[in-house]
Amino acid sequence: MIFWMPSMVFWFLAFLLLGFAVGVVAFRNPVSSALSLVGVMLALAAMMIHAGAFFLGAVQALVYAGAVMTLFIFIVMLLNLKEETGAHIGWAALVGGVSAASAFAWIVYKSVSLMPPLWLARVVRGDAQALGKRLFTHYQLPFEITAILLLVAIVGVVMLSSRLTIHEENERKMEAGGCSSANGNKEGGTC
Amino acid sequence: MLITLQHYLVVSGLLFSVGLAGVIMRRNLIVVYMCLEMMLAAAALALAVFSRYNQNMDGQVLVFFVITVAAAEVAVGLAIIVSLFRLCRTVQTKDLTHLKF
Amino acid sequence: MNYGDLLRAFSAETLLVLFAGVIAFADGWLARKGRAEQLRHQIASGLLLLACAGAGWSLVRVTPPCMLPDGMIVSTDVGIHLKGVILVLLSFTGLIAAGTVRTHHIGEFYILLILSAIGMFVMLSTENLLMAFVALELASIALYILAGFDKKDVRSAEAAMKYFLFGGVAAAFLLFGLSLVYGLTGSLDVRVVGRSLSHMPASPLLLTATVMVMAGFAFKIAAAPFHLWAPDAYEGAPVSVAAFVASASKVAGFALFVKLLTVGFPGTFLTRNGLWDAPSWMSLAVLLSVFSMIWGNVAALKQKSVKRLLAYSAVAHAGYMLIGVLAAPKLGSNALLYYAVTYALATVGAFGAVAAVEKSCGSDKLDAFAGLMRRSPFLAICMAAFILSLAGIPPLAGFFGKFYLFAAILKMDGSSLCRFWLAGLALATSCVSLYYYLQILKQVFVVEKEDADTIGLDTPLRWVLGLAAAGVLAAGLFPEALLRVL
Repeated sequence: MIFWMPSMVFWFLAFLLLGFAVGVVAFRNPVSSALSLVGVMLALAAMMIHAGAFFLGAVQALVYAGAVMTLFIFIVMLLNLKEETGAHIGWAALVGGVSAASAFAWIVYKSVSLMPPLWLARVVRGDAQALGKRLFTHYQLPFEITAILLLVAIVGVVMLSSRLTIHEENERKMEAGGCSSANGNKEGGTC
Repeated sequence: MLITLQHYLVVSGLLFSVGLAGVIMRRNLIVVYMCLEMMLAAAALALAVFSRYNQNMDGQVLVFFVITVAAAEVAVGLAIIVSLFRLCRTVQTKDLTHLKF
Repeated sequence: MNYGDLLRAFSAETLLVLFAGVIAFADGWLARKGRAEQLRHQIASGLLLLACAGAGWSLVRVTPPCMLPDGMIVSTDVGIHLKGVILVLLSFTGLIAAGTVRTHHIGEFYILLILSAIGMFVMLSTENLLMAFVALELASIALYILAGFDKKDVRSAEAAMKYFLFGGVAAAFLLFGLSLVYGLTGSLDVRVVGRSLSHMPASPLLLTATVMVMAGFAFKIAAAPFHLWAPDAYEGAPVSVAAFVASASKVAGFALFVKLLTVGFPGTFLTRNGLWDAPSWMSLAVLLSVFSMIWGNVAALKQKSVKRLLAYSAVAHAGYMLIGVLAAPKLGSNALLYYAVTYALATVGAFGAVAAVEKSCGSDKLDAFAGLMRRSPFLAICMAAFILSLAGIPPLAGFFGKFYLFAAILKMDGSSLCRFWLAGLALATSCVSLYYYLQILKQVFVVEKEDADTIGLDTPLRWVLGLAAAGVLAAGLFPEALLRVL
């Protein structure tokens, strides 16, 4: 399949992607950040499709914009997070973050721009068939390992987010009271 | 002007550095997670483009695994946030002071 | 290779997964019957021991050295021996946990330990970047959850959070670096990567890739300046989990790291004839090593909590082990692996001793160890063996570990790595480390404590301490035997 698209689409997607990305970092309200992240992921999926990875673009949109973002929004709602009051970014962190990020971006830009232009091949294979064949022949073993990984995640999430039993809750209260007087930790204080 | 590999790489690098900046700057743990996701997604974009450049599918297969791993990681991370919130009523990094830094 | 061979190659891992399932069912059944938690701990840890024994048996008898295409699985003798070490550490961790972990989710704890060990197994036997990434994440994600297992304790949740955040950033760095490596070479097979990188002229993109891969790994092995999570994670996590993170995860991490660097980045040069004529990852490893040795040892000096002290000493030991990584391309990695294995044994034992003290005194501060010799002579002597081995005192394993490492770096040719300076710095910082190790021993043997009652050790913990101490002593008395198999 011959693949060709005007570069305008690329620039449009790139600006969309980076604009939303800055939005995730800059927005004060976690829900706005989450919605920006949806924008990032959709733009990224479009960009992958533009680069020829059709199936991955679709998966990216489904998994991230669908499942993962639902999870984020769900947690934000569950914990009932409000818009942050006061500065949501400290000065020291601002300086550190911006300088680290710009240093990294500069390094990548420099190391990339020193190379001669590398043209992308016009023949593209990114359909589900090509990916699936490779995945289920060569990469079957890691695929099985991923099953164990998902098992770990399931067990862990259920264990961590299950409610404390009344018994445990009482133990915790007793210990928190005992600890803060015994070793002078401020456990009881901030909680 | 045609789009080359370098264009995609610069976009991917910029996305990675915006994510890195967010991880360093933001105080809200959930937003920090979102920035972490952006960093992984940047690597995924680079892989997908490299896969086309190298004319083999290995990069795309790796992206597939990255998406899976990242989803599992987010689920676990959010569960850790929930269990922290249950004890502390906070999702701010500045309140993580029970262990002496 | 057909599926029968594949099953034989993966028999140990398969057995471990099956036993994880058995533990889930057994513990669920006991919990539904309303049995006492102590019984559930005993049964689950007993099954864990059985799983380790079974997996060990299948490693010895069944698993053939095999090779799958693309370097997906390359199981060598060294890899199999290291898997045995991981199994020993896993069973020690399980036994420490049986008496000390405070949770109502007993089965889940042992299941996650086993699954994390499977991730480490795969790390030890793969030479494929994709497989390495997935295995590393499997081991790490299970450990994040385990660190937060004490749901009543806010410090445990906080430890899990910090471990997760730093681990996540590390994974992102590693992945970006790996994507650049893939882009430059067009393959995920580490051997093919190594072959094509050695024909490639030095390019800035390659340097960026190397830096990012190194940074990602430095997070994972807690080398300074990427170690900030380690003290908090070790202090807040349940002691048995801290023992597992400090020992098994470190052995597996270093084994993977050294394999990746020696095979995958063999001759990547920073500049052709500039300041360094060593491969560029080597100069980065020298920096990490120097930072870790200085920072870890100096920060450990002022710690009051023994767990934090062990964490900073872990950072320092990561620095020493990085010296072994530097020597590995020329002289093989067995000096490094000997060090890592003996360090892991001593650390798991030391954490076991901390677990015993913490259980009876409720604190892991230095003064909780006061008068330990009178309160429990057995515990005190074992603790002395572990601490002296970590410090590198002659008859014990730690001394020979340091000896082989320093000898290896001095045997290297090429002056550009400042090998004399590096060895000198390692010696000097080892002397500094004596101070804080002896501080612990001073509390144990010299300081007297009034009104301190004796510490009762339960049987599993006694076995762990005894076996680990015996192992440290034996590895010190017969270092050649261990060196031969690594």
